Amino acid sequence: MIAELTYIACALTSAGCAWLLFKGYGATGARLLMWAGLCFVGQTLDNVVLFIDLVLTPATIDLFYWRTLLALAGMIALLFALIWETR
Amino acid sequence: MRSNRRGNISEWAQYGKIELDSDVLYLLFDQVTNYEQLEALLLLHGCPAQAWSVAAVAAALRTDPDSAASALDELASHQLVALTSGDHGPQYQYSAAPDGVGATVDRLAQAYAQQRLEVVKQMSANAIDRLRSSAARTFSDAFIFRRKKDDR
Amino acid sequence: MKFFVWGTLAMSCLVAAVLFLHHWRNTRDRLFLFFSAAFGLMALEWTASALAGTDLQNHSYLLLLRLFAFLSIIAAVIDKNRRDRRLRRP
Repeated sequence: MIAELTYIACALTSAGCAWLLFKGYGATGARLLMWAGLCFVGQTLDNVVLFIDLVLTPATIDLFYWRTLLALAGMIALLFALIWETR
Repeated sequence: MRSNRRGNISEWAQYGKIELDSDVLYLLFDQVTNYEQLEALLLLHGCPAQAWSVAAVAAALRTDPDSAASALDELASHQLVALTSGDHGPQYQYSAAPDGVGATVDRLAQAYAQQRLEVVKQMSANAIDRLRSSAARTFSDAFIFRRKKDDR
Repeated sequence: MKFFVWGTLAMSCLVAAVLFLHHWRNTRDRLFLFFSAAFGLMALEWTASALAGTDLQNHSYLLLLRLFAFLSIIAAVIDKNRRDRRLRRP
């Protein structure tokens, strides 16, 4: 129960951060914010798919690669933002 | 290579035979960020009892009223000058606390009078620093919840 | 293959944590310090997952690491907004 609530809380936090960053991107046009927003979209999807994996799908289905590769894509976007767009 | 920025700045400032102490350096980095603000602050600091209109400051600094107004507003936001509503419209008067930031402004005025070039060099270095960190500040400012009327 | 993915996630989170720390040093904005801590904790979580060789549901300490990482992000946002309101007060 606590685990499920934690994943939901983490997903909501990431989604909130993504929303703020995309809102900032809409206002300023700074690409850094778009890439960082994509990172938090990846984090959100990681937490959502983790929830689905642990709670909704049977043990025979493993969504490990779905969620971790989404998280990894997000991290690559963040690193690109922090290195390339903040020169 | 960039080690402690403040340490490097102090060493360089001493090499120029002027002690820009850390308070003055901070004032120049954080609160007095361009030449109009510096000139306006020192103009009002020179006559602390006098209230100045935007037009008077613009004429004294030989700049346009918009630049003067913007500089005075910035200084007022840091409580270095105070906005008063006089008979002749809004006026600005020097208001830095003498036992607080006022002492730093005194030292800045002295440094500007004795070695203007060093102060100008410092402000240029600060401008470059500010530009370098502007992307980071954009990221940080994205997380501020703004009320609709505050949206810029 | 799982270990490779855990490893790349841990390394990318660690690099992000270091970059946020660098920005904190340059700007002195606490938000970057909180984000650095958050991504540092995520790096720790992915590393611990790899060392345990299994997923989150079996180890509660992995859950705690993830929770603290996101609490750090929430703290960053709250702290930023409180400071912004205080500095904007006339």
